[in-house]
Amino acid sequence: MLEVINLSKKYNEKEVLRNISFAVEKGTIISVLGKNGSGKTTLFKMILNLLEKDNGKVQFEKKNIEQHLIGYLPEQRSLYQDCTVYQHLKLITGINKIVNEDEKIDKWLHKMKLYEYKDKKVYTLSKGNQQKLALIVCLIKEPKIVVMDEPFTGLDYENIDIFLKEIKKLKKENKIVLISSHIYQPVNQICDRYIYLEKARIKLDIRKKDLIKENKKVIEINDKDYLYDEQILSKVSNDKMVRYIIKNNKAAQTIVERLIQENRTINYYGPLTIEDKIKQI
Amino acid sequence: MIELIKFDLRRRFFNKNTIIVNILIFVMILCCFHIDFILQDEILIDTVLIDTSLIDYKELFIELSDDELTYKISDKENQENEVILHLNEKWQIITKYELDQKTKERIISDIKKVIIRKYKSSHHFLSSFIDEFVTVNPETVITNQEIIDGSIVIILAISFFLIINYGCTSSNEIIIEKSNGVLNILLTNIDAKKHLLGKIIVSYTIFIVQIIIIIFQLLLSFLIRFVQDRCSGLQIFINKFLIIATEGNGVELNIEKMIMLVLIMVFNLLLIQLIIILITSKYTNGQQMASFQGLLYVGLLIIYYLTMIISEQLIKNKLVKYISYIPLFSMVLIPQRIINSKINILGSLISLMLVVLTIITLTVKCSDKYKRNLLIQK
Repeated sequence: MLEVINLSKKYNEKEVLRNISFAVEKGTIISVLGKNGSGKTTLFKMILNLLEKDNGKVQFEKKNIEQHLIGYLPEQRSLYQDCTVYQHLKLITGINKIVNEDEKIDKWLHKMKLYEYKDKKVYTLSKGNQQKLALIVCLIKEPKIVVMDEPFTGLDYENIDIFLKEIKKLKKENKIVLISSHIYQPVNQICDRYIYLEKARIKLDIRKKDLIKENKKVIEINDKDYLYDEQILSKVSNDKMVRYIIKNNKAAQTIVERLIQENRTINYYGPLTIEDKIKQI
Repeated sequence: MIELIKFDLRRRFFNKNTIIVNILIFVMILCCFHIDFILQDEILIDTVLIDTSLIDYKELFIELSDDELTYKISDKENQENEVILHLNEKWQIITKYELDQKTKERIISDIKKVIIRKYKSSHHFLSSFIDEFVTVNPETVITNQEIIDGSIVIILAISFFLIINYGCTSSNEIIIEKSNGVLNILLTNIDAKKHLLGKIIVSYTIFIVQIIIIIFQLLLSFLIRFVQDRCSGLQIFINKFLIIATEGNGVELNIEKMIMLVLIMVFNLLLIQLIIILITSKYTNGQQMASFQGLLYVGLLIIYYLTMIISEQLIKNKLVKYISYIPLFSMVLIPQRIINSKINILGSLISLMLVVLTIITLTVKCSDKYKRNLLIQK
């Protein structure tokens, strides 16, 4: 189990994190959400021991986290641009004393469809391929805790699928994965739990199954302020659309039928998403 | 750590820029080995040739001069015209300035007189044939002292800047790693202390490997020149330099002194490098590093040139004597004291030990601070 206990951090008197505590079981994918500057990256860096903690500690199985246990995929594509793909991976496997390193490198390159770029310099790769290389760098040492900061940025759908497949595999291997992403859709597909950070604190910590259990439904239509129903718990709107959160499945179905009868376009009808939940806060 | 060192070394040496720089260095060295060809338009050679079958050069030479190898003739009317007679395969007159015909004739006549005097008893017939055995080559060697002085200053300055540059190599590398985020990856794979040690070892290895490459280039250039003319042209040129360089210079350096001198400089450079890394590890961009480097260059150059002009009197000063043992100061003061024979091997060893101890203490004590600095990011 990964335990984050009372983590606090200030940058020049500005409080970024205050008494953040949570525990993550093995085989869990946890999504850390929050606006820009909410402290997601700071939290990750403190877990990775890349940032000094003002207060608190991070433990894995009741011990301080050792480097070989952690894999990190940073937000920035952190690669030596002047090196070849192979040299890069060789460095990481060498540092971590991985056995059969060449075999493993080839296996990962094939898996990520990067084998043809093995001897190419990193700067010649596309952003997507660089991101895939960064993922290999993160995972090749087979860490028990994987921290991914914005892993889907700059990826096309095909590559997002490749990433998702790998992350799901990590879950199967009983590893802990922490992801922060602005692209909610792929994260929603795989994560088991959400932590939402706001104003240096955890504002929401909810398991996906609990979110589903709430049985609330969401309807999105284009006409602003169109609907009124006592079953509507809340609404979020902007200039173009409005999203209604409906108390339960039955009420939602009634409203949908009404909308169809009135020939209204329904943009979305489905379960409550984490975005809706956050907006409710 | 070894992997990181190997990786950094591969990156440093197997890249286009390093290869181009080394090719340029090789071309420069090759040019130096052919300097007599390059500067031939500016140098006129004036040699006095004497038939080798007749005389024993050394004997003759000793008679000619108080010095074992050189014979100097100064123009009393005009102090500029200093002539140095040097024994090579043939008699060669090297002049600092162009000689007028009158002086030239006087020197040749002097040599002839000595030969005749020397061999008057055994070879009394020589005087009638002397002109056949002693011939004058119409070329004149002019060594321009200003060019030599200028070259020495340039070489010293280049060497010094190269040394500082190597000192800053690791710091620059760390800032690059910091700004492109690679450092985050490295530090989730390797301990900060090992990272620090790795960087120091890398930059030092680079320095040593570069020196080995240069030595190899020197040997290759020598070989090329040797195949051409057995270095005879170059030898004449070098001799000219040696005569002038050693003129009035009483420096005596034996192997022990030389080794100690090199070790003290090398370990002090290692210390400088360590300090630079520790100071600059908190910088987050190249601009900050460039500002620091600028200050460092100026500071070290001031120390360097101040030491260069330190008089012997000052070296004898007790305060300077004690200061010379302090690491960093010892880099410039101990070699001065060694050259002037003002320190014995034990004293040099103490100074060396102090530098090594400082390096070890700094590495152990400052590695946590280094990690904190590394983690300072934008």
